[in-house]
Amino acid sequence: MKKSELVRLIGDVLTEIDVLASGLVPGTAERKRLDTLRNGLDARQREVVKAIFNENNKKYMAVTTQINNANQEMAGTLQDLKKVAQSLDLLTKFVGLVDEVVSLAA
Amino acid sequence: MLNMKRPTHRLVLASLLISIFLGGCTTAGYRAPVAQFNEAATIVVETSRIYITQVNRVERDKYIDEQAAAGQPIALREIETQSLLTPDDIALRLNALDQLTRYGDLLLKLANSDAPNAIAKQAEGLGKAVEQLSTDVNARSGRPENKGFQNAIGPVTSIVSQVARLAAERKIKEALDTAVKRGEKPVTDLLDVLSEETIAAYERKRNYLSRSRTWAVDAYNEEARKGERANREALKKYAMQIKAQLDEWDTFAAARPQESLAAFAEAHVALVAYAHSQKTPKDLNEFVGEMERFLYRAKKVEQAIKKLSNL
Repeated sequence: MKKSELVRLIGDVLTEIDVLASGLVPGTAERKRLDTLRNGLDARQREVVKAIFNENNKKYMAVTTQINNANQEMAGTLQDLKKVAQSLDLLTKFVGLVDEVVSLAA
Repeated sequence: MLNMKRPTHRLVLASLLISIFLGGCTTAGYRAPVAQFNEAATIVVETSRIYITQVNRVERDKYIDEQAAAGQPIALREIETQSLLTPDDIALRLNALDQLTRYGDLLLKLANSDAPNAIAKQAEGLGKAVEQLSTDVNARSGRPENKGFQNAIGPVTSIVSQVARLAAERKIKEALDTAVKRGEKPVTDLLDVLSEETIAAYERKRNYLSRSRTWAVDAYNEEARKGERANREALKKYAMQIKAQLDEWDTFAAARPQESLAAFAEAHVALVAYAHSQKTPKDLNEFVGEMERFLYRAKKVEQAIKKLSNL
């Protein structure tokens, strides 16, 4: 995955988070947790934008593949207000993977 | 229907045939499509420039709105840390965009080849500008943000000296072919790097606009939750704000600078293919079609960006 694709994929997830957030009341526990995850993912997207990656590095390729899979796993869940708890868990995993890729920056 | 027996129509047909024939050995075939290429390239550069110059403003505005939404204090020191690029980094990127404009201008001047001396000067000017850019890039090579540019810009210098020499020798068509053929890799590399930069700038703005929608909905819902005590006027105002945010969001989806840079890259491939071709009427026809498509796509993005700035 190219860096620009990674930045865009994170952007797609941020957009889905925002749609989910608009259905939750600010200040509630779920919304607070979602906002925290959103802030974290936003900060990481910024780091990815500034970072230089070796896109041919095996570790980079493996982690970005995991990120892609995690994104697919979330598809359908993030739009469903009945699955907020599951969404939060999947997002936590997703942010962790983005963290991992950020740590690979040159 | 044309009456081919009339002398004027025979003359027109003869002129067309001569133009097609000359297309193979002069710059005639290049003229109209290169003019379109140059027009579209200028649009692409200008639209990309908007995103690059706004990159820090987007971060700053986002920080301020986030603090306001969370009811948190705003600190000037924090605002300063939001910048993604230094002024020097931005200047470097704008300079790189300028090289694309100069490249298009050089091709246009060569295609119109009315003043070979002016063309030679233009080619030399491009050479100097590119060398300066290369020096600037090397000076900033310590910053990882500039590494992509360092790798992309260096090779551009290689196309210029030969083009300048051929233009000075009034070998205009050869100079034009050479400029296109030798520009293939460096221009492609530069487009790749610029595309990555504009995707990043676009995505950061998308991130900001996306969250702005949530804030607008939150404000409305907070008032609406008051039930009977809700202020109807405030609700109307918040509803208007949601609609404005959604209009901006929809327009923004079409204002993708990477789309026009991708069109640039495809048009450049067609330009190179034409330079390598036998320049038959079929080659010319395909080339003209590609340039028209490029101009159409560039204008579409430009219109969306203009609409966005009017919202």
